[in-house]
Amino acid sequence: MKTLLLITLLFAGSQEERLVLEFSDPARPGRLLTHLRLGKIEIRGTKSKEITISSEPIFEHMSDEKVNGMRRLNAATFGLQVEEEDNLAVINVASIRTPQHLVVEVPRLTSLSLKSGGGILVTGVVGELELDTTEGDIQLKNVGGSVVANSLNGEIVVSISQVTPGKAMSFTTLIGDLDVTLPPGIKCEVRIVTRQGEVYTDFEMELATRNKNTGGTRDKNGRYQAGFERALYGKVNGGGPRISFNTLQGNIYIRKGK
Amino acid sequence: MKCEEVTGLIPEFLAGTLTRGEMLRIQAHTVSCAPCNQELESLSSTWKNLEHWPEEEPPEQLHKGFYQMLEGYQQGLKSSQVLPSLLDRLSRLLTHPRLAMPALAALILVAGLFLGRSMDHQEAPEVARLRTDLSQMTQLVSLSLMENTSSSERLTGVSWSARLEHPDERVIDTLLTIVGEDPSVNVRLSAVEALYESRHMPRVRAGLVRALARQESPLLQIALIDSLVAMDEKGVAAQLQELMDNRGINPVVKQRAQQGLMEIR
Repeated sequence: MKTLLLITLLFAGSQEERLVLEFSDPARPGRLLTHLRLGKIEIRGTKSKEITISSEPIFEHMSDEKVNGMRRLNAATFGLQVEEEDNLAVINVASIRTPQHLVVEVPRLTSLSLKSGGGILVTGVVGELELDTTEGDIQLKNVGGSVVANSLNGEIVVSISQVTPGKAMSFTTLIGDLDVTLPPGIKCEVRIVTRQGEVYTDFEMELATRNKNTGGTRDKNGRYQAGFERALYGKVNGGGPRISFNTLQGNIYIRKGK
Repeated sequence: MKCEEVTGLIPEFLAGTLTRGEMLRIQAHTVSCAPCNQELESLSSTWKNLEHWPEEEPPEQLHKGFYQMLEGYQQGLKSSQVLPSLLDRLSRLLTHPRLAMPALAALILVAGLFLGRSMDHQEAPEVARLRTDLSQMTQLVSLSLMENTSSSERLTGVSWSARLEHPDERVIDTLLTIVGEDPSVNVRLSAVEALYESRHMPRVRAGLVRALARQESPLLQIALIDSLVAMDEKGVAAQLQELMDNRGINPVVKQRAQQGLMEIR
């Protein structure tokens, strides 16, 4: 049954309010989608069927002499709105001037599509996890399912305890380390590109660089050119779906979990 | 155990590669879950039919590689009427949304097990058809995944298409569209990687040069420059010059463009 649930909350002053709702069909895993331009997103997986949303402003530390001893009032108000339909919950954060720390508690089995201007932290969630940040780190602890993560400028530190078989994954950052812990029994083929940085792993891998000389061509002047792909490929536990690691400047750590 | 987990593990269950604990959990689940029980039943009867293919003398050498195994298949397939109905069932499995991946994996596993013979006989017509059917199925699966609303599914679809030896027009066009328009950086990047496999095709080369003009993400710009330089595509030179002249471009990208121009000449 489809129900459209719309809840709006206005934040003012330093009140900490909470929005609580459930997916239309709590027996089926749902998906949470949100785009937070300014601030950090934190998601916690729980045993509850409820989704609980709250938000706190993030203040920069002011050590101005004029401030000395006074407490700060949050004069800016902003709107937080959540819409849910057919197991998809969308959180809209409208017109904020101060960066927010958005905290959402979700049922453990939930898929996430998160975009943030400054960092994402997810703990204890299993599902299709898609994360995108411009500045700030992506940290995933004790998650499961599949991960597609991109950070423009920041680290990606992920620890996956169980993997959905057959799903591809990708970790990309322009500047920043990739530090990914995978289940020891995972079957996959990793593809690794880093232009400035080292790669470390404790997995046993069958490594190969694809130097396809058959791709060469002879041009008009008779020069022979063959291109080499810059990526390193490695089969883990016999091979499987592709897990891509791509960073311009940064080290890559592919760790074997316990 | 969840239904999704169970259906994903069924091929391994049938192949007997699961641990005892996992097998018991699957059996426990299917006892009380009618839909999963049905899936297990229908897949297991397909599996049993495959076992009726004729026994053969073990060969002295087994070629490595899936397509090489197909080529080495010996034509003594006695009950050849088994093959068409099998392919029919397999094609239904492969277009089933949740089972496509495990079914394709099972098909590759089974084909590897039963077709890995290297006898010097002429290739049986059934084998040639099986090979075309398999690559068509991989294409179907990857095309349908690439149209999904989930980035994770699209990423998986793109990585399947990278394995095709001769992707058809639809796959190439879909990949080029993804490079230009997909909202996910990860998916766009994987499409560039997949298209690199088809770099001998002029439309792929031209498409990637055009894509470079439209990209705003520095990671994509660099990946495209890398790929175009590696395939020695002279047509990218004008783009590289423009990237170097454009003020708003990330300095790391500019540097890569400059380097690329030198490598191309």
